Amino acid sequence: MALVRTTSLLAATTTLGLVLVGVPASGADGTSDPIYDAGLVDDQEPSVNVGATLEEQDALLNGTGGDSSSNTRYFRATVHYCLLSDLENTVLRTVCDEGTETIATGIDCPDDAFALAGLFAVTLGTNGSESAPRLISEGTCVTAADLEAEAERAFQNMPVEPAQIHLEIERDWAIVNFGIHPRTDDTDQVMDTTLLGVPVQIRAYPAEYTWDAGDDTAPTTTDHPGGRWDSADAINLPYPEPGTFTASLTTTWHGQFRITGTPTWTDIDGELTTTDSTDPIEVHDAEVRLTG
Amino acid sequence: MDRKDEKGAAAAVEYILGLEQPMMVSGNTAEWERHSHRSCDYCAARLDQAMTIARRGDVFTGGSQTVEIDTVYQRDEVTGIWPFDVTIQEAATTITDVEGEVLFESDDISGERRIEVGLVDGEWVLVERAEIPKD
Repeated sequence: MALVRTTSLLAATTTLGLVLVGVPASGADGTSDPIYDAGLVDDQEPSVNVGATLEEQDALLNGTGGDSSSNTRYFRATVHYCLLSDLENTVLRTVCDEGTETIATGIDCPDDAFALAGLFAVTLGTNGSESAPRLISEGTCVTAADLEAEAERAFQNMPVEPAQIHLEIERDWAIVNFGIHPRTDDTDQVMDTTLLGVPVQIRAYPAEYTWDAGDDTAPTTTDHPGGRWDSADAINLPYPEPGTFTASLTTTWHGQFRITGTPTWTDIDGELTTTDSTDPIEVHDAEVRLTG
Repeated sequence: MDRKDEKGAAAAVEYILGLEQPMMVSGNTAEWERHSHRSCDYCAARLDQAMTIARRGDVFTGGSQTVEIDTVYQRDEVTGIWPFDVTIQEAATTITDVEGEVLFESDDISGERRIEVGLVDGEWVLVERAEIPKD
């Protein structure tokens, strides 16, 4: 069995905000049937107690670049961490049981701010002992303005799914000058993440759509996702010449963020682009045939 | 498990995880609750399922778990937690209602998990059972 040293702090989990909604069936006793799970399904969230990376320790120090080989450990007196203060051999007891304003529950912040618990450090000794926790920084109220630079960086790395092209009629051919009428969805994408120890939501929303027929015609840029062929928002890629073409949609995404649980979204500088393409489309001349 | 060191923690992991299946079958939750830490989300979720099964008169069969300890970490100095990585084999499970209708079933499954245990008032408790963090 390997003996490994771990780090301890809040694990920054980054997940796209997908929500699955289950609809329970009705049971024989008139109540809804419960939703049961196997144990190995119920335990698939990462722990927030132990196992965070040294990188996250650095992030806690506001990007000052902590030393991975240091014998100093940092932690914040969060609500969850303070739940662990009844464990034996924990240094949290001296921090959390005092009930000072350094712990998260003791900081009074306005609605649009996050109570960031005080930052503490303990120094590890060579014989497995540790020093008493030292207060590095008091608890404070963090506002969106404090997180703008981090939010911009997180937005640039956000895994945004491309807006998909939908054709009015899903087929791989078209007629010259009638072309195709593509459209897409204007769905926002939201990512939950943690910036400098603060839970944050980052939202990407489609701001501009550029439709390229893939032939010699100029791309069309719109601020809407298109619509039915007979609507004012319809996008028409007419294909004036026969041939085989691949149409594409480049979507420009703008970003906003907010501290999780607060109402106000703040704009993020910069933009992202994604691209989706159709399968090749065979464009034919229409032949006129007189019959009868 | 009487030991208050790494070996005691390892024994506690095997003992506490072994309490789950009998709790689901019998509806007796006392020992599970005794060894669950107040912050343990997994403990609460499994307790809730066991209590629901008992309240409704549903029947839990199978689901026995075998635990193999893969990695023993040093005690976490800040929290006092002993973390372990384990491989858990969970036998096929069926939960039926009083009329025999199947409400839930799963095949044999296995997975690697992070287990965290600690001591409260001299008793070993499960602090969390969770996915292993990706470094």
